[in-house]
Amino acid sequence: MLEQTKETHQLFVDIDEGRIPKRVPVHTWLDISYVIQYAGMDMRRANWDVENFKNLFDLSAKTFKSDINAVDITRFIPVYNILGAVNFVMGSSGQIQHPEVKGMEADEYEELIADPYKFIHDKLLPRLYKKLDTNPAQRAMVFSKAMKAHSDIFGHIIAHQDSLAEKYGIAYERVGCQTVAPFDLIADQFRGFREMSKDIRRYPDQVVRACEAVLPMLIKAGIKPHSSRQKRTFMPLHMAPYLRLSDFEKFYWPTFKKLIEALWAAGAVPLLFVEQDWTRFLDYLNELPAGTQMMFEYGDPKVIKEKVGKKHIISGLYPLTLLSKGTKQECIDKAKELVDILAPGGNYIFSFDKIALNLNDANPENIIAVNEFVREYAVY
Amino acid sequence: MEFKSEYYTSWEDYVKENEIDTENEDVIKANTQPYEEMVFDFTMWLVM
Repeated sequence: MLEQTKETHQLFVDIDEGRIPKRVPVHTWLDISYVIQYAGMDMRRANWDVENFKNLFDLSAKTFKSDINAVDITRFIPVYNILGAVNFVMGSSGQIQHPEVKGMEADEYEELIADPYKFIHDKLLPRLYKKLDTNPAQRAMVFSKAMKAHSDIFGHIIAHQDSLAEKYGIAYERVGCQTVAPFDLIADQFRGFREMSKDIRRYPDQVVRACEAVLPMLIKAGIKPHSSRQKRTFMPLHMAPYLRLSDFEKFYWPTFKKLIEALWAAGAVPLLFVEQDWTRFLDYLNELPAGTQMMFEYGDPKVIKEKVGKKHIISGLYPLTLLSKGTKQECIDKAKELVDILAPGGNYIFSFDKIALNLNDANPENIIAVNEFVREYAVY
Repeated sequence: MEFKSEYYTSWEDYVKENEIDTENEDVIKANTQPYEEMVFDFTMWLVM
């Protein structure tokens, strides 16, 4: 399988290095909850069963015809349970949910700006993780226990991912670490989207200074010793589509652009998940260093190809909803339509517009049919 | 654009604050600093 692994991996390397590959590579993203349901397991148990994760990776690699590991797992319920998390909780079905939370008050901007990392430990974490809201000795014990659990689970997953590629002839893992845009960090678990929308009117200068203050921390988070074009820094982009253009230019774009440029300068190459519709901001995205991968959720594929597809690597845009309700032929026809628009000239990795969370998000047979079609049809 | 915090100890800070056997600094660093980075990485995971 090693030869097959090299061949599949080369498809991605060619794109990363500006060459046209033998064919369009297929990168499918499935949350582990999707694979758990596909396997017929109970999510309330399977989310705890770390030892079983490797079986789910194997099942996915054997089944879904992705050229690279399809299973995405970033939320570890044992760690959240140890911490008493309120930001990530298991629902009654076993699905891990992310309720809107607010870990920071409006009058705490100056404290955040003075030392973001200290603020996180002193104020934010005890609010998001209730078992850290205790005396220093117990807090240290809970934090240690949770970090050990995180390290063990993460190590277990990484070790299996590395062996997965050679076992099934797929490419090596493409994501090496994660960071987020400064504005998104503060808007998500610090202030919450609702409060942040008010803050940009009430405290605009502090919001700008807070984005600048967290920037060095987020640059550091996105650079690892293994960072490269093939081990990318994943960044889900959240808040920009909900902003007016003038607010985007003032609050979001300046520190986001600095972050991307700093990552590139350090050899850490971004893979952006461009959530929602960024059509208004395509010219801005085109200012980023060439070769940034952008996985788009919505937008006109022709416009995206024309405006950013010559400079950057495009993926996404295939509607997951069609895989849920469409016939096999409708799904294949859509794949052909997208490949015909996005593949010419290279710079294209086939993927869906979002990550499938639940089995009813996408019919597994449609995923397999579409991926098999692209692998056969999208040959250069 | 260097990351600094009262709660983060870079290797340079660690050397200043501790008596390090300079002849063996490479192996001491390799077996000390990764744990500081591990705490940083875990902290970032908790807020992303």
